[in-house]
Amino acid sequence: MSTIKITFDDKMYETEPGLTVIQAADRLGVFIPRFCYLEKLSPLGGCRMCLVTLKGVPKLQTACTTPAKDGMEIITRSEEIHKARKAMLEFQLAQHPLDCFYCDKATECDLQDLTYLFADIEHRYDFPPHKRGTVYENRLIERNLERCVHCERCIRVCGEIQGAHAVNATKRGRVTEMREVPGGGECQYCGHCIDVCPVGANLDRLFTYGGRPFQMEMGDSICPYCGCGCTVSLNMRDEKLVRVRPGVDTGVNKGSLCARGRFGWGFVHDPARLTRPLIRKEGKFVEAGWDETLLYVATRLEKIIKEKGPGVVGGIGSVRSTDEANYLFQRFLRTVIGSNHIDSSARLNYAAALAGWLGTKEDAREATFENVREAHRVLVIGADPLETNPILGLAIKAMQNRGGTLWITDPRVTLTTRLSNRHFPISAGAEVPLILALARAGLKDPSLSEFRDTDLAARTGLSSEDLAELAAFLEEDAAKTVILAGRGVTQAPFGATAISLLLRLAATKGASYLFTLDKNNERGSCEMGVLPDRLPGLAPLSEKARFEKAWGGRIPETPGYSAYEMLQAAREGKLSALYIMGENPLVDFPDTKFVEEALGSLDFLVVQDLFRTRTASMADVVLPAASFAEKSGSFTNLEGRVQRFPSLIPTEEGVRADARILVELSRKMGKGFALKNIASLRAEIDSLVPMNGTRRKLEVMGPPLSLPGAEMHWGPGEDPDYPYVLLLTSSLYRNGSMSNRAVGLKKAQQKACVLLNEGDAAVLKTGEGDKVMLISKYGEIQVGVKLCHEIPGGTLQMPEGFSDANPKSLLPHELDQVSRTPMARFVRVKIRKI
Amino acid sequence: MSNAFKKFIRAVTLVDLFKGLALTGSVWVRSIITPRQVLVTRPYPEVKRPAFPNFKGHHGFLLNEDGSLKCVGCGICAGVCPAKAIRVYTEEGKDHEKVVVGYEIDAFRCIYCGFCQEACPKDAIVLTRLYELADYDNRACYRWKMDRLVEVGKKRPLFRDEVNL
Repeated sequence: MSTIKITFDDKMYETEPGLTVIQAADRLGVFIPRFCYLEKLSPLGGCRMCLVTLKGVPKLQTACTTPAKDGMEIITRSEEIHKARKAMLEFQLAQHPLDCFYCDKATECDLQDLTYLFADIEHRYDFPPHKRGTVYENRLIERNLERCVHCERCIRVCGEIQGAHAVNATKRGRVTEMREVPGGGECQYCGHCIDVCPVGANLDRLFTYGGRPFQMEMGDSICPYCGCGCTVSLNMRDEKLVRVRPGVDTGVNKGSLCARGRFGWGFVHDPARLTRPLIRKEGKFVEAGWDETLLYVATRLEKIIKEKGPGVVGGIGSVRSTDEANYLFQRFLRTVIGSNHIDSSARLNYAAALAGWLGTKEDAREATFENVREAHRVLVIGADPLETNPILGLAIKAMQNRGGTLWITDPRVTLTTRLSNRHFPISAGAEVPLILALARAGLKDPSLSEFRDTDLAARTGLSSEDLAELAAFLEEDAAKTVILAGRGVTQAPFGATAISLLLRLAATKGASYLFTLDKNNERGSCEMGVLPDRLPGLAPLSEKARFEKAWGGRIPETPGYSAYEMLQAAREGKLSALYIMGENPLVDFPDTKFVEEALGSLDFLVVQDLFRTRTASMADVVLPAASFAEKSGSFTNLEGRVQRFPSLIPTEEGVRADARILVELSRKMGKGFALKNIASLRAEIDSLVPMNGTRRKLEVMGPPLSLPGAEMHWGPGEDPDYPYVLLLTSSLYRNGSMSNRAVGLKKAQQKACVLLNEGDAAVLKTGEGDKVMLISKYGEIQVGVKLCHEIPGGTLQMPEGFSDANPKSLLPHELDQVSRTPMARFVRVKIRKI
Repeated sequence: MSNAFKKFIRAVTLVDLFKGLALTGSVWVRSIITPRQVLVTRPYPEVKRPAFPNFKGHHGFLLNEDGSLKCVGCGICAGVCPAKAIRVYTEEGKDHEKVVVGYEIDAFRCIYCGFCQEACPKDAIVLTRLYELADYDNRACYRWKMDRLVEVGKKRPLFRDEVNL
């Protein structure tokens, strides 16, 4: 690589070409003060703090807007520069309220730091104080207009990085106000403006007057919400979480966070957290000690195993818990209990993708966040990364900012479709025929010859030209193309087959792929063997001898039941006991009535959770578990990156980490695991799964997947009784039961609402804010209406995850033949006005 | 006369005892006739020794004229405290103002350096000359709460008056 020579203050440096002077200075460790410049934003040159002298140029120049050239001689320190910078600072201070005593930014404030640096600032200006006050329009971000130094970082970060365009400048001159104005974009509560603000003009309202940095302890952890696995810096005061910020350009998120990551920590100290184990005695929960409870669980389980054999005990592992806890969970069920009935709610998404991946001989390249950022083209099929995985969404936006193209095929109207360069509105549930059509065009596979292009085009609801364009999109520049697939594909019939075709397509063309994952450890739980037919490291059951030797127990030979098969077996009386670790099937699984009946017909149900969720309320024993901040371990993110994190907050009395509960329970059952701590557990995993996180494809291959018949029916079909099609979407502000107990996220959006076309609303005589009843064949819910002109008539959209109205209770639970994943993207409903 | 015999006579006649009693008696008489403050050994609980002008004792909280706290909860005292003895808790008030809801000093940690007083931008905290810090319950010393500090702050002039050196 060629370098350029550049001189700072008579000292010659070598650096890479294509930088501005301030970038070169930052890389070389030369200090230049600044307010408005930030590496990830476009340069503005507004604050005039970075003024430097270039030899041969008569006037001072801004370092942030001047490109560094070979042989450039720059002076960063001189009397003239000091005077100029000091004058700029004097202007800033002349109108600054100097209320550092009250300001939460004090000691983290750039203006404060620079004022100390230029200690001899005079105060010659006597402006009349203009009381612009503080704006509390935003429920989570306070905008203090008086403290603003007009650097416009918030405006640029909101537009360039987040793409929300919510913060805008109004008025002119020294009374310019950076705030949300009517007509601007909607705030997505990402809180970027809080982080980038050099002064205390944008502040976190959850943290208002919460303390000073020297009163807090800070530690890095991994965000417990979505599959991105962002590095978060937890700030604790008196062993309580008070604020969450992104690390400084660390982790996959590179200094960004979404609403859930930043404002979703409230559940950790929620008063509703369980702190004592509960045992159901005569229909009522009674608090009990740990020893007593674990002994009770062990005796009940032993009794059931003795009477009916180990095959009547099942376990649902957690997509929320750590890799280590999931590993122990499957080891507990396989060796201590002796049952292969192990699954988790990854069955709803990642398990199907995994089935597709395991059934594909071709090895497609898996993308990383960096690949997405640097890609030229991204094709999204059946996913909404901006809402399910907001930081992956930011990577896509960065890709677009670099000139890349985003195409999306989705029946819904989502943040991602709004951002896309081109949106193909396919019909509901048409992701699989679309992939079949793309595979037919791209693969030239004779087994696909039975499908007719016109048929597939009709089913997708796109024209043949659109399909041809989509196929051509994957042909060009494949090395820089990323295919993103999500629940639209995995939760469709033959979704695993479609994933397999997509991977073959990516492998043939040379494109890379990525799955969007809603939950933080979906991938980790599957890779740790929380699957009915796979051992840790995705090893097939035929390799069990190796694990038996290490674990010192026998592993059953036949694959167990998947999640829905377990529930079905429970209804039929073939499953008597279920151990649920950190899952809430009653809310997260489709067809609530079915799940409720299944859980109700169990003899013994153990639930290990943070809260008394709806599932926990049905349990015989509830074990209080530790949250992400209170335990250590690792999460595997959607790229397969295994990220370890420490425990930062001491657990409350009576709360125990998942792994510890399992180890102690195994001891009570007489087959105790010889594990001392997380480190010894990690060492055991590393010895058995040598390449945790990266997958050894050919060693773990599954059988090839069958294709659907040419006459296969997709989509919601027709039903005059239920005239509307309800499409399920994701929300930025909800993701499971933790988010429903986070104060910040509740402030961002209190209640779920169903999006309704304006024409349909006129027919139904409902308006914005009215309550309606959505009724499907399987259930009914009450929800508020929000009008939306973008969605087509006859379609409704509703986000999952809100505790007040759960659309999953409206869904059926038809299972896919291959992956046993329920189809949960749409359902036919009728609307009744209340 | 042998030494043993001398010893015996002294023991029988109690000469040493009366010598000692004479000394005690003379000191006692002198202590009655001399003023208490001039005595070398001070009769402490009855007579309190005034502190030196720069003595740094119990912290006190000062109030504004309208009776409100001078402290605004900036936390500089907690930041400057070398012993990490101070905790300040602030909250958002009704009109988004900063309200000091808790102020605690750990008397076991405090080294009475007076940095908090020096750093305070509002002159809200002072180290008074009150040196009677003992308490019947050590938990009270572990955390001097705000009301105690305000109480001491109110009595501050009192401690000053005792200085008459």
